[in-house]
Amino acid sequence: MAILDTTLEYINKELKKELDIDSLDKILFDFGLEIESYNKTTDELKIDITAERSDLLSEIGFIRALKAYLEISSVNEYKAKSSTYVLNIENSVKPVRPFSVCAVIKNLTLTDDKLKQIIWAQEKLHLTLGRKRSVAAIGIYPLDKINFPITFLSKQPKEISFIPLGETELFSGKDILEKNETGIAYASLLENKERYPVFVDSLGKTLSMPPIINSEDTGKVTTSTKDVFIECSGFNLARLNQILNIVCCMFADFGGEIYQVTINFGSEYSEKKIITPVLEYRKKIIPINELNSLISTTLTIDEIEKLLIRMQYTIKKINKEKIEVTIPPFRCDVMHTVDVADDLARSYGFNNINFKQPNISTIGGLTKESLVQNNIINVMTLLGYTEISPFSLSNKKELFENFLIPVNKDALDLGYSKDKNLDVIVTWLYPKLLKTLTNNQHRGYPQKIFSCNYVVIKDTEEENRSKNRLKLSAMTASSKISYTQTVSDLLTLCNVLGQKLDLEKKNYPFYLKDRSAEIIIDGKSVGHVGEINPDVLVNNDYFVPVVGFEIEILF
Amino acid sequence: MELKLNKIDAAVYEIIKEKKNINLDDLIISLNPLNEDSIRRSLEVLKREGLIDENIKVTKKYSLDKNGLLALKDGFIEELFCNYLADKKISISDLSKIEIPKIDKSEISLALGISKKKNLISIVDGIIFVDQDYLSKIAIEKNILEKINSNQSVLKEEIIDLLKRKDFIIEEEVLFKSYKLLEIVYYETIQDKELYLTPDQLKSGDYKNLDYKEFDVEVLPKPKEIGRIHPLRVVMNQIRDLYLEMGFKEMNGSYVQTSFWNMDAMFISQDHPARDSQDTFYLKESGSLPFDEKLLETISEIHKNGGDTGSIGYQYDWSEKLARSLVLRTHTTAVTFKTFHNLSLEEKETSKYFSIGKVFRNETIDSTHLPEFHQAEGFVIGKDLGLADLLGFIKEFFNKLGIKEIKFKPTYNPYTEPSVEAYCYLKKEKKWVEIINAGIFRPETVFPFQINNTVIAWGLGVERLAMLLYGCDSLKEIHGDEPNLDWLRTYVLPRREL
Repeated sequence: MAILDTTLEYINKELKKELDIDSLDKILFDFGLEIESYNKTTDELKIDITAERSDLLSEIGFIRALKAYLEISSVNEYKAKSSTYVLNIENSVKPVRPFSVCAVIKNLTLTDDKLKQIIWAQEKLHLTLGRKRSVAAIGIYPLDKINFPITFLSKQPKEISFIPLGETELFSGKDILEKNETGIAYASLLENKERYPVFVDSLGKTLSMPPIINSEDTGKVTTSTKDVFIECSGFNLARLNQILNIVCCMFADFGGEIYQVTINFGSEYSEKKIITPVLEYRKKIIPINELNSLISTTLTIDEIEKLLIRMQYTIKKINKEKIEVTIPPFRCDVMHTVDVADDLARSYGFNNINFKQPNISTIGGLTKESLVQNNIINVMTLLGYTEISPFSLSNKKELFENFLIPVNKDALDLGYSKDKNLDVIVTWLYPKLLKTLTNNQHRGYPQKIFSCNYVVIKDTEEENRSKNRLKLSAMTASSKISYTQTVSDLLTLCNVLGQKLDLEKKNYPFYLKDRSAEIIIDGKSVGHVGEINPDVLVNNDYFVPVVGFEIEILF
Repeated sequence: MELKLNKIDAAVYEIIKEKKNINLDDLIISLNPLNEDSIRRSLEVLKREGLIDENIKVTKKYSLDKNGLLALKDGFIEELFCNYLADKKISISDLSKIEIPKIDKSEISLALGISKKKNLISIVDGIIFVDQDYLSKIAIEKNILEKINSNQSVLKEEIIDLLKRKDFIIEEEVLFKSYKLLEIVYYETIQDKELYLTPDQLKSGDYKNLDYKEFDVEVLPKPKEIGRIHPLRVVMNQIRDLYLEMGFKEMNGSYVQTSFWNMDAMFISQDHPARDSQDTFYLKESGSLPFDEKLLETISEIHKNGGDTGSIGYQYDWSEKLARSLVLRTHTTAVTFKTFHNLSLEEKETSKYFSIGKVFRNETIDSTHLPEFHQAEGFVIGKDLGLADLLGFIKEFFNKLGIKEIKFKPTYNPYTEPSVEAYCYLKKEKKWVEIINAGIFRPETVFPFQINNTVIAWGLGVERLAMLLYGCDSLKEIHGDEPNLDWLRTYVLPRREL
């Protein structure tokens, strides 16, 4: 989730209201947003913006939505005027960063506050829709510093030479990624690329090297800037248009006029020419019963109209049963009728809906695995064992090395793990039981614990290359442990479950020599029982004798 | 009137009379084989009669914790540090480069600090010199550790520094009861009444003429130690029983899933942040996709342009390769979608399913985050279902678990619309907390499985709910390798409403 940074003062000024933080919280809760934090002294307010509403990532966009929702004013209409501005996209940039869409905004009056909003919104859009600039990046340039037509092309890193924003000398493409702070931060996005993308104007000036940095000469917007050129470069035209729409609507709300830019593609592109920003007002004809039935309401067409206007839609009644909904260009989250229905429900208030019970009669039941697991857990507790709930993730030292056995070839390795102690999924439960005992070393004895849970074993036949297997593992720790007592517990369990138990003497590295056996249930080898090898106990920093058993539950 | 004592009371009294003052443990030993509960009962009688006085002293008992045991075995960290440095001239700045046996790199600066504080070392011109007497200085504390380990008594002043060290020494309070003779009196020993009613007495009819000893029926003995199911299991069983009462069938699945089932099938875009390895555990190898060309094609189209669902889709080219990567399931919804795939035609019209199982997130462990937790998920497919059914179901569900005050907040999920979070009110903390995330599955998610009716669904974190029901402060108490076994053996069952 992304955070919108604002202040209560700004919101009240824009809405011409005097909301306190609790009443704002109430409004936002019903709208579907949450206040992340509020600092009473500084008035700093952080609001969690849900991932779909990228149009709320600028303060002005947030105000736009609230004004509609609180019926203060309806939404502006956003339109781009035609112009002769041109961007040429050359074939050379196709393999590195194939697309860019653009717009020009004129007649702005920028204040420090607006500039701050623009920069923050740009950063937030980079993070969210732009996926940390890997999918899309936005560049904003003062129009008077650049000369059209502009070319989007790629160059070898050493051919690139310009002064990056905030620097004082010329950098090559390579220098930027190695020496400039922003360059270092985003270097991975151009890693292993032979050529880097650049925007160059008709006089040959480099405007920027996306998605990394603008040039100092042409990329610095200030309060004296009246007109700007905006480009949004990346890999997916649809996504780029969505972002550009959101940015253009923000500038338009600041009082700017939007102008189109014609984009010509190189010969290797399937597209020839497009004009951006698109600022499309999508229209959808929706039967009102579809909306009512999904959100369980019986709203009339007039009520629906009123409620949807609060969510920034424009409504036209087609007939008594159908409406035409117009979706504003910044609402890229609306993909389907259900999204309109959701907005209708938000506007109506989720908590105002008359709850009912699904009137559906079906017969319930448990899976076979759960039934067996329940029976085992019941008997184990009757035998005096306490159930534990250990993790299923572990590491090879804990799982194998400490138990004096080689790494199980059927264990599944994890890729990257934030917790360095986790690199494998458990293949057996013993190590987790012993770890739990170790963590309770100083508590009352005897300690009898068990776990009946799933482990994961490699299986190349399966789509997911593995299988969950149910295991039962039990341990008793005490200064006077008894192998016989543990076997008696095991036998009782088998008797209750109607299984025949046989033991066959066998040595295992993790048991004391000649004090362990293989467990055979109904003729199948399913596990082992024995007194834990003292070396294993000491490896685990445990200093109390332990006897235990572990079996796989076969269905 | 002359005092009357029974045989056991008398025996206890006689010992105290003889010793004048005796502690409970010694008393029990002297009266062997009399059982402890009977002795306690007699002590109560003697106290009541004013013959003896009870004195309770609280003392501290010390035992070695993890690190204390380790220090005893391997040596103190400063000892290992000095051992290593003793014959070397190592400068402070080189410390970060060297490896010292049995000391973790992160603990070297700690070892340096302790050594300095204890004057085991001196630093001249940045070079560390180890004091010749360092071993004898350490020996004092080592001796204390040994004393503690062999249950000898130590004074708190002796171990004040050791107590400050992390996981070194466990301090427990022990109640030490002793009894003092107050008065010597003459008493009459009451004729032994019969203690036990026996089968022989019943058969012979002797019981009619026998007098049975009065029991002190109000004294509470020690509770029994029994095996218990895990507190989390209690909550999972409650949830499971709720589902079963309401006619839900259980579904089950593997921990490891392809991204296809965990994300793609449920319309999570392929560049969604949840796919980041910062949030999701990936496996080193990849899996394969189901042998169902039509399903793959439909899902690919839906991602690309919405297919025949009426959606505009994500407008990108869907990659099979990304869908094949294996993850530890991040939600049990992966199980739901595999179930969708296998439902019978009738069940695609009407059905109710649930699952309770483990899910995984790439997190480090702290009191509010765990890399694995349990999710209880469910769905209902039916004609004419809507938001009211979903909200009504959730309200009833929590009502039965004893959570009455609930409000709903719209939210966003890629796979449900509308989506909702339910919050419950904590009276003690005076705040609302989120307890469940739910929604109506988007048409883009259910269309590939030929489900045309509405599907309402929800998923809740079992640990979070359990924390509320038990009043725990940390997730670590509820799930993981560091439980408190005492709590697991003695926790109180949370109540469930009918």
